[in-house]
Amino acid sequence: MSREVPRITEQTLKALGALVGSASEELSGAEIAKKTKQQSGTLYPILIRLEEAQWLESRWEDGDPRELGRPRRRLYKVTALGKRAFKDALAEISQVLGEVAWANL
Amino acid sequence: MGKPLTTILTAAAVGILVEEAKAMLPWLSDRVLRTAVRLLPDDRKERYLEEWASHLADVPGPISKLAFTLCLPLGALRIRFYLWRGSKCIERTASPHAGLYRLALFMLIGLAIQVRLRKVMEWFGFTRPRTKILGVDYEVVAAFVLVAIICLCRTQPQLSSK
Repeated sequence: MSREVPRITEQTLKALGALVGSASEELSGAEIAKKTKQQSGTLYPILIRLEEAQWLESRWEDGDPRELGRPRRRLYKVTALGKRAFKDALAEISQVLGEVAWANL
Repeated sequence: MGKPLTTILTAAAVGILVEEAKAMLPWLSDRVLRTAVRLLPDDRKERYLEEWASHLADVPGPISKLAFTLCLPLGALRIRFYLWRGSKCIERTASPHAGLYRLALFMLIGLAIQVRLRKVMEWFGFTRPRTKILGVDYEVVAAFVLVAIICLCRTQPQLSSK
């Protein structure tokens, strides 16, 4: 079910940015944590918020854990809605930064 | 003679303790991970147990693994709070008596704190006459009224947090 629009914080932007800017479409939690240098206690609550808002979607990786020899990874992928939200947030930040830069000239 | 022997024994004991601690780290990481999963709502436990176990497998080194798992309980509590708050937001919009419900709940908590404080004061020897309503302590009457209000307000449609 879709919930409230997530707050765009620095950590949220980092997590979204890692997924938007990744060469492979899907990333596991461990890969996102590595890219964003976020602790597990911060990252997973962000991922669930983004997933509930339908900015991200996730699925289990293919394969049987017994064949893989380890637990299956959960793979996250940014949705079109998430990409748009990320671009909008970046545009807003750029606008604010531009205004601040002009004001300080 | 005694000092070198003590040094050797201390070094040996420290070595044994370090080895023991190293051997315990994976077990400890696993225990912490499972404790964190237990903090999650029931419908999320299975998913996060596997997801966090796979993440743990990708973290190199036993100390880093433990550091990773030590952050998980906080994450689990945040997830739980987020899901709970989400459901409460829906409930709040659905319930016309939600404001009254929350007010009664806060008053009940305040009353409990006041009763507790009075007991502590009495324990230290400070006593004052109790206010009574129809021969019953006013706290008992107030608590009864507040619980009744809470029960009445709670009979609202509960929406799933999922």
